[in-house]
Amino acid sequence: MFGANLTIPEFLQPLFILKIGLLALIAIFIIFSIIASNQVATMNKSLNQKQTSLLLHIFSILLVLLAISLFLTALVIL
Amino acid sequence: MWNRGSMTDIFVAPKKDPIAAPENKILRNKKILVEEKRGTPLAEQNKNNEPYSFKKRMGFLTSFGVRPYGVSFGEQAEDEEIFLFLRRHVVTNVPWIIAGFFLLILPIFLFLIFDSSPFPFTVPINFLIVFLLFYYLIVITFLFISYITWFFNISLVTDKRVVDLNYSDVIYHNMAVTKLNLIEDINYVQAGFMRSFFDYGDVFIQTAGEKLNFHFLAVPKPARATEIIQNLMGGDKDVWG
Repeated sequence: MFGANLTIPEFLQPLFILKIGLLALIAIFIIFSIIASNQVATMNKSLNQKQTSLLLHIFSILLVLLAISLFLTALVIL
Repeated sequence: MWNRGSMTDIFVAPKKDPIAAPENKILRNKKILVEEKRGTPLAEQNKNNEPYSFKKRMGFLTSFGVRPYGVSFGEQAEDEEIFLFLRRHVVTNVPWIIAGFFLLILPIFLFLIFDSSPFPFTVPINFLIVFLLFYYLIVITFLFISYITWFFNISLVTDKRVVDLNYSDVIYHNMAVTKLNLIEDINYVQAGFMRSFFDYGDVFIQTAGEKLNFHFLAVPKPARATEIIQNLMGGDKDVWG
């Protein structure tokens, strides 16, 4: 029959679309976390509270690193 | 004969340290107590050698500080000292803490629901892992953003001016400053069960003319804060009153 050998191209596969969507979301999240980290650095200049300010800055950088790690992990295992 | 050279000097009494004075045993004990409690040498805390300076170190959740130690702001002058440090009361953080807790345990409930569901819902395990990790990263970020929004929303009163630092939604921040002598009126409102129970309220500072008005919302001990600002407006720096 005409439609017997019809296969869906890879870019239309639901899982492929899900993978691209997830990667795009994580990429957007990386940008957001970088903005948050920059804002924390800026706010630390406006208000400096010794140890706490330093810890917040470290944590914001950690978030960026986690987001990048997640993106790379998703790229590898999906 | 009157001899100018042998004229005695006018007697100038040496300055007394009010705490060191033998009659001020209570103050001396208080000083030692504070020093022991904080674990920081008082000499290090107090560079100006002012006897009444019981400075307080600010912690992660401190929302009210009188002459706080270890805090500075960007526009601070060298001879400018912070007398009052205000944030929203810690209790105001409860809603986002509860929301964060529910978001953290939500995947467990979802897993239980889908596991017992008669309709099979199949997603490859690698997708599930990445999705779950991403979800928790978003929840942690939500908690972090909520905390820094609280942390960086502060109001300061120095011996020269009032500073209001606003920060919200990661992308917005502004700083408003006015001199103490431009303040015309100051009052506070403390209404409601929660506010009365936890002793927090709103402090309103009205400045001269069409200048900015300052609203310190949900700050702890509003009566005390108002009193301190009034004292500073009158030039009285003894904020321990």
